[in-house]
Amino acid sequence: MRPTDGTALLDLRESLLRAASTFPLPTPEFTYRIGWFASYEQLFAGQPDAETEASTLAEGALVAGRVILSGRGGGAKSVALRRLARSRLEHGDIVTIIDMKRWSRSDVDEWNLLLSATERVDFLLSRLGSGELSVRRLAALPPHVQRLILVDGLNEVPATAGQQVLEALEQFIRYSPNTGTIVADRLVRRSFPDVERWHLASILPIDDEQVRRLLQEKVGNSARFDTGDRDARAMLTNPYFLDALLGAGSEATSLAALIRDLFVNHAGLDSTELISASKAAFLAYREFASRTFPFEAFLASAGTSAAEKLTSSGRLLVDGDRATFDHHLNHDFLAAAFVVADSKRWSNDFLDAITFSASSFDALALALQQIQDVATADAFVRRIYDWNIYGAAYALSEGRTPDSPQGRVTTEMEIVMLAMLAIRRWDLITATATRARDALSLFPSSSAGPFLSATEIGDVVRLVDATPPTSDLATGWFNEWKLLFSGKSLFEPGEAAQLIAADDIIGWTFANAVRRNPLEQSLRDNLISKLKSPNSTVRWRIVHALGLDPDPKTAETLEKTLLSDIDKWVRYGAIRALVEIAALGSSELRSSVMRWIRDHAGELLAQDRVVRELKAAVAIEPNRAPADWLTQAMSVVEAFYELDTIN
Amino acid sequence: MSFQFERRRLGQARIGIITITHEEFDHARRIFGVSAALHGTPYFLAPSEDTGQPHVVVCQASSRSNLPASQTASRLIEAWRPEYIFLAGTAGGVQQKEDAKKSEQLNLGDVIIADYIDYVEYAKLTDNKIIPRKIAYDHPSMHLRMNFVTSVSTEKRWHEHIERARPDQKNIHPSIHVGNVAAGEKIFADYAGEHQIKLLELFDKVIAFEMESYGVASAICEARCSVDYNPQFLTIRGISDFVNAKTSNADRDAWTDYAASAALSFARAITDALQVHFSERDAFSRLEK
Repeated sequence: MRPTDGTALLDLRESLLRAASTFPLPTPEFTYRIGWFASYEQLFAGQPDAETEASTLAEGALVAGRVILSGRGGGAKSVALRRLARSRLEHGDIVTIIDMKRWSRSDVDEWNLLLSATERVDFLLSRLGSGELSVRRLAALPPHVQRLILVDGLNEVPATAGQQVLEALEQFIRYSPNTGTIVADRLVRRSFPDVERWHLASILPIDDEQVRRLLQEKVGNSARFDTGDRDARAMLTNPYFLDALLGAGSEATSLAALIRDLFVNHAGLDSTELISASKAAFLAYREFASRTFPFEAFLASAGTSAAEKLTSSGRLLVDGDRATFDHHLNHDFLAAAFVVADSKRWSNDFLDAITFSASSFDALALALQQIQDVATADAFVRRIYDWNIYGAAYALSEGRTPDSPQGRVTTEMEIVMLAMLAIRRWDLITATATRARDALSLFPSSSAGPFLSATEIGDVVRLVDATPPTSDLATGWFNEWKLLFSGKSLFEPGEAAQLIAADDIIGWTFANAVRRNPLEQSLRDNLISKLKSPNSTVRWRIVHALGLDPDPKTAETLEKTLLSDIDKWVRYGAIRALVEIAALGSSELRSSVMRWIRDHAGELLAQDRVVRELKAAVAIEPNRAPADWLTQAMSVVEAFYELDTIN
Repeated sequence: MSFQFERRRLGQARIGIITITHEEFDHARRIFGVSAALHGTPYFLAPSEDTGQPHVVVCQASSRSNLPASQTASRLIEAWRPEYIFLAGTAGGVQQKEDAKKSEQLNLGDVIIADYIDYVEYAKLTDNKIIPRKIAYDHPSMHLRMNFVTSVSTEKRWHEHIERARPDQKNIHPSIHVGNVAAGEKIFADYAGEHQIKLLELFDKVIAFEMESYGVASAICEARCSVDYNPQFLTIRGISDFVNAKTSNADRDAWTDYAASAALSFARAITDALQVHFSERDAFSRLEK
């Protein structure tokens, strides 16, 4: 039978419908509205250009071709796609959902061998898609049949692969008539191959009337919403939170507390089982770097009792020999619980594991919300900051639970985060400046507003200067930090080693302070000599501090570091610093550095994180770029492109 | 609150004309008689009386060089799915040696039709040598060259649309030449430069250098992912200067306008010939039904 026969089409649609019927959908069904945004700035600020019914998502995809559905974890993106898939299949369209949660570490090698958009889309359809669909089957459909490719959880894969997925879809859709795609993604800025071809959408918070009605129906009254403060009300308009609250009947006031209730009261885990399940959840992330993992491995770690309770309650879904949690936030909560329970686990490796190497920060916010006292919360945020400033910012902005003690840090800590993000707005590297602005935008405007409206670094310093310490916990370190941050702290070159190796915030602030002024020879020598430190974070701070020092000796040091340091974050810092030096240095130094990078492209190509950062870093602020920057940057890009293609 | 999605598909056009510079675009609009853009789009349309769908869509790349040309071509294909795509404008010719056959001698203002595109940038520079690398892309349509270019070029009528007088005041018409065209990312105007001389030696059969054919050809290659879509494309370039002549820059200043007009005039003549072909094809199709 020819695949374009009506029967074959019906068979295909039937198989897709069968697959769609297995998608879990929560009840009661909330009514969602979609916000459409002209830019990520508007999205982060929560200011849509237009609001429409949820059904217009499909219209948008089919008319415009490409929609990115961006939102926080728990924002009902998956639910919206599943509902859309069912309704459009019933309407007669061909629809598949590509579940990126099923992406595993073993997929990466195979994915990297695929070069064309068609091959990559075929991989996504056949390996991760619902139903038995492939590019060939799509191409064999009659031209009038509408096709929708829905991608759930772009954020579930590493950033490089995520970008490649977008590029493959962009190209595939371009030449596929009657085909559209909707890609659900976390609230992060993406680079689109052709930005004007994508429409940016987000599911809006559930409207007040619906929240009241549902609370009255399920709980008997809506007092909790009516009398709650702004943050409490906002939390109730989050679909995941509201759904879980209605299901569990919980009084929880934070997402972490609510998920804990689900595990304890709904799944029935006792405290021992909760601990063993947490460990198993963490190990699943660390060992398999995926939301999907072998059930046997989980069972071995969690124990039979906990595993049975999780599966019978529907929190853990088992399909053959693979398992996944019913919502990634539940998995994140457990993994975070394991990490946060012991400060020895607040290491870079553990933080990498629960965030997929800094790709997904929800687990950090849930970890912060599980901390009961301010001093520990401050310490935890400091540790995250030392590992990744954006992770710390996300934990603070998304983990805020002003209505409860959980997740609360000192005001001083919040000021430090806001200030350290704010000074990045003037970073030489455009991607860093943009990312800092985006991270600030996620904080409430009441706290981040002044830092976002600062017009120069001096404004930020003045904002910090004007903030007195208010907590006994912070009085000492905060004043010391303020002096260092504002550049008023005087130090001798001999003290550099002590300062750069100081605790997280002081160490990084010192590194940033060093960057603001020309480096004296003695300080340069002193810093370079400390690159032998066994502490990788200290070495990272040093290469960061050296970034604005356009000196041949510094360049040589960074080049050596890039090839020899065993820590990926130190090498990441070194490539950024080298690009900064090239941009700020003389044309001779610039040529020399860029030639070195080109000559070592082969060795660097094996370092995915370094290459990714190099690609981002060569795009520097146009008004600060030297005249020959484009030529120099292109020569580097071409060197990598050629090697990549040949290999 | 309503929301208007930007439509990715705008209709079905038969011919898409891509130009690069403002001069080329102005000539294209006048020669094809398209004066207004479809609202909110970069496309200028010449509607067909038969179908109501546009017969010709004219557009301009956002900038020079292959990447913008590729983006323009891929957007044109997505929006209009044209059967034929012409890249029309100017190029720097390669002045032949004095002892070359007269038929091979290019003159300023002549029009060249590419039979093969060499992308000269994709190469490895090593030991003071240039080693070309290969990458997949389309080449100009043999069907169009064999069935339309040859016949149209022998008819003098194609000159009728040239809007400018020859800068050299000679009372002659430009000729049509078919040959290899090199596409790069640089304007070649360094007649004694080492790199340019090396490239001319390496691509010794090339008759003209320009900066966009590879971009269009690669977009078409990517678009060729279904048996239902088989676009035919041509590169049509008027010679504005000779890359290997001392007078390259001065010639370009003097001849660009005329050369662009000549290229677009030939593109118009091919389009007119295709219009006859479409009418016949449609008539046969109606008969069959």
